[in-house]
Amino acid sequence: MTALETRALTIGYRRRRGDIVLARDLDLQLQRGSLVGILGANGIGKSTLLRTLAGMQAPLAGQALLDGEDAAKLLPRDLARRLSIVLTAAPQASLLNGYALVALGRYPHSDWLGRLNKADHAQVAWALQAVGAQDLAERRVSQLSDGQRQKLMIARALAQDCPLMLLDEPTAFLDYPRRLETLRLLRRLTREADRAILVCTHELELALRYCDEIWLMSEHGLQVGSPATILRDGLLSAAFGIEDINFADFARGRYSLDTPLLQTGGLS
Amino acid sequence: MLRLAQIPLLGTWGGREYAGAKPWLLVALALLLCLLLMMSLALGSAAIPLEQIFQALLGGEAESAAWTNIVLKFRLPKTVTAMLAGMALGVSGLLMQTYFRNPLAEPFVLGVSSGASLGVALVVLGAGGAGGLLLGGLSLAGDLLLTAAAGLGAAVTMSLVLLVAARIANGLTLLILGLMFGYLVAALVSLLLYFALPERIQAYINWTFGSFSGVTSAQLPILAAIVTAGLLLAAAQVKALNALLLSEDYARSLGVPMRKTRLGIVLATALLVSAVTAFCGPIAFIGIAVPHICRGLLGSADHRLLLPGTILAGACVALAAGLIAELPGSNLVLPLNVVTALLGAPVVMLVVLRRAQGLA
Repeated sequence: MTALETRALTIGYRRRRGDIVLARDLDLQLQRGSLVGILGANGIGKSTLLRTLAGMQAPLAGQALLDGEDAAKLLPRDLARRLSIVLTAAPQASLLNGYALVALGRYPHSDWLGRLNKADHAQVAWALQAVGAQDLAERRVSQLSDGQRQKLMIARALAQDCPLMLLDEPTAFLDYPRRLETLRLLRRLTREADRAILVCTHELELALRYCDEIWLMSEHGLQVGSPATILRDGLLSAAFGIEDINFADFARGRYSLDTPLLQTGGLS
Repeated sequence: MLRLAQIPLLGTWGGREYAGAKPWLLVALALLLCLLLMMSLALGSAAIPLEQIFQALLGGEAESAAWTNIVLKFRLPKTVTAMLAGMALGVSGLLMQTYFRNPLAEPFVLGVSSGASLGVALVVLGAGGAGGLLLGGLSLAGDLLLTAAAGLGAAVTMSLVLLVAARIANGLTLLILGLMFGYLVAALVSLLLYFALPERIQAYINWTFGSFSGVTSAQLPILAAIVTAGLLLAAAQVKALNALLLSEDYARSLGVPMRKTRLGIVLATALLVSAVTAFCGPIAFIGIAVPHICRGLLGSADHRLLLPGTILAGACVALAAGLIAELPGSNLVLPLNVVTALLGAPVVMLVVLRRAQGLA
C-alpha cells in the first residue's frame, strides 16, 4: 500500500530575490512495510525534503500525497494521524517520565484534555515494547542518555499510530552501537508494524545495509535505487563529490578511501 | 497512593504517565489557600474577632459598624485582589515558561508590563495639566487615572504583541522582541523621570512598588472578569502546552494548530498580566517563581496538574506576600515588590542551582 506519493514536487525556499530550488519535479513513492534512506551531502536538501513531506514547510510546486490526500490541504490533526516524526535532538523534557513522553504520541487521538483511554494505554505499552524500552517507562526523561531518549522518541512516533514515519538524522548524537541498533530497529518496525519509514541519515554504511531503497540526493537531482544498484553504479562517489571514495567490500557495503590514511600524513 | 482515576477531570485508567507525580498535593494547596484567605481577612491593624468577620461577610452586621466597614470595604477587596493577582501571575508565568521552553521566562517578557509602566509614566510624569491636577496627593480620581493609563498602555502593547505573534512563527524571535521592547520603554520612562518634578517621580515610584489595596469593590468585578477570561483561555491550551514540552516542531507534528495556540497563549498572558499590572502595579517574581514551586511540589511537568497547581499556589504566594507586607502587629506597610522579590528570588536561585546539579 502506498503511504506517500509525490507529484512533480519541487522543494526549496522562497526568497524575495527568487526561489532557491533544492530539488525539482520529484515523483516518489513510498510503500508500507519498507525502509527508505535519504542520503546526500550536507546542504543538498535532505532535511528540506523531509520537512516538506512532513508539512512543516510548503513545497515550491507540486504535491505530496498522504494516503492519496494532499498534505498541504490536511488539517493539523488529520496530518498528525497520517505521519509522525523523529528529529535529530531528543528534547530535554525534564520531569516527564518515559511513559508520559510516549503517551504524547496519542495527542491526535485523544480528547481536549489529552486524557488516555484503554486503547491509548494499550498503544503506548505496545510502542514501548516494540522499541524495547519498557524499563524506561517510569524513569524521568532528564535522567536518561541520548540513546535512551531517542528510543523513547521513536516509541512516541510509533504510538502516534501513523502509516508513515519520517526521521531526520535520528542517530546523529548516538554512539556507533546505538546507531546500528536504531537502524536495525527501524527495519524491524517496517516489517512487524507495517509502517513506511523514511530516514534521512549520514550513516552510509548502515543505510546501505538496512534500507530497502535509497533516495540519493546530489546536484544531479534525486536518484532512486536499491542499495545494490546505488553501490554498483558508483553513484555515491558522484553524489558526495569525492573522487577516491570506493567500496572496498561490495558484499558488506563497506566504503573506503583509495588513499591510505598514513601516506596523507594524518587525518586532515 | 491516590490514583488520578479518582479525580474525574484528570482521570485516566491506571495513569502510569503520572508515576512519580504527587497530585494529592493539589488538595493540600487548596487547604492552604483557605487558611491564607482566612488569615488575610482576619489580620490587620484593627483586631476584629473571627466570628464578627464571618458575620460581616455573610451579610449580617458586626457588633461595630466600623468593623463591617473594614471587612467589606478594605479586607475583602484586598484579599480577593491578592488571590486573583496571584492566580493570574502564576498562570501567565507557566504559559510563558512552557511556550518559550525557558525556565527564566516570565509574564513580563512580552513587554506588557513595560507598556503599562509607560502609560503610567506618561500620566504621572508628563507635563499634562489634567494629570497634574488629578494627582494632587493620591486622590481616588488619581488612582482611577493611573489604572486607566496602565490598562491602556498594557492594551496597546498587547495588540502590538498579538500582531507580531500572528506573523512571526518563532518563539525565540518573539522573546527577543519582547525583551527589546521592554528596554525601549524603560529608556523612555527614564527620560520622562529625568525631566520630571520630584513629587511626580514619587507618585510613579509608589505605583512601581505594587499593592493589592488599591482596588475598590466597584473595580473588583472588572479585574475578576478579565482574570477569569484569561484563566479559561489558558485552560483551553492545556493539551497543546503538554505537546509544546517537546518543541514547536514536535507539537506541530502532533497536530497542534500552532498559530491558534500561539495566539491563545499570548492573548491569555496579555489579559492576565495587563489586568493585574493596571490594578496592582508591576508585581515581580510571582510569575517566575510559582510555576517552579509547583513543578517541584507536584513532581510533574504535566499541565493538567500544573495549571490547577499554579492557580492555587499563585493565590497562596500572593496572599502570603500581602500578609507579610502588612507586618501584622505593626503599623508599617512594606512595598509589595520588596516582599515578592525577597520571597521569589531565593526560589529562582534554588531552581537554577538544582538544575545545575541535575536534580531538577
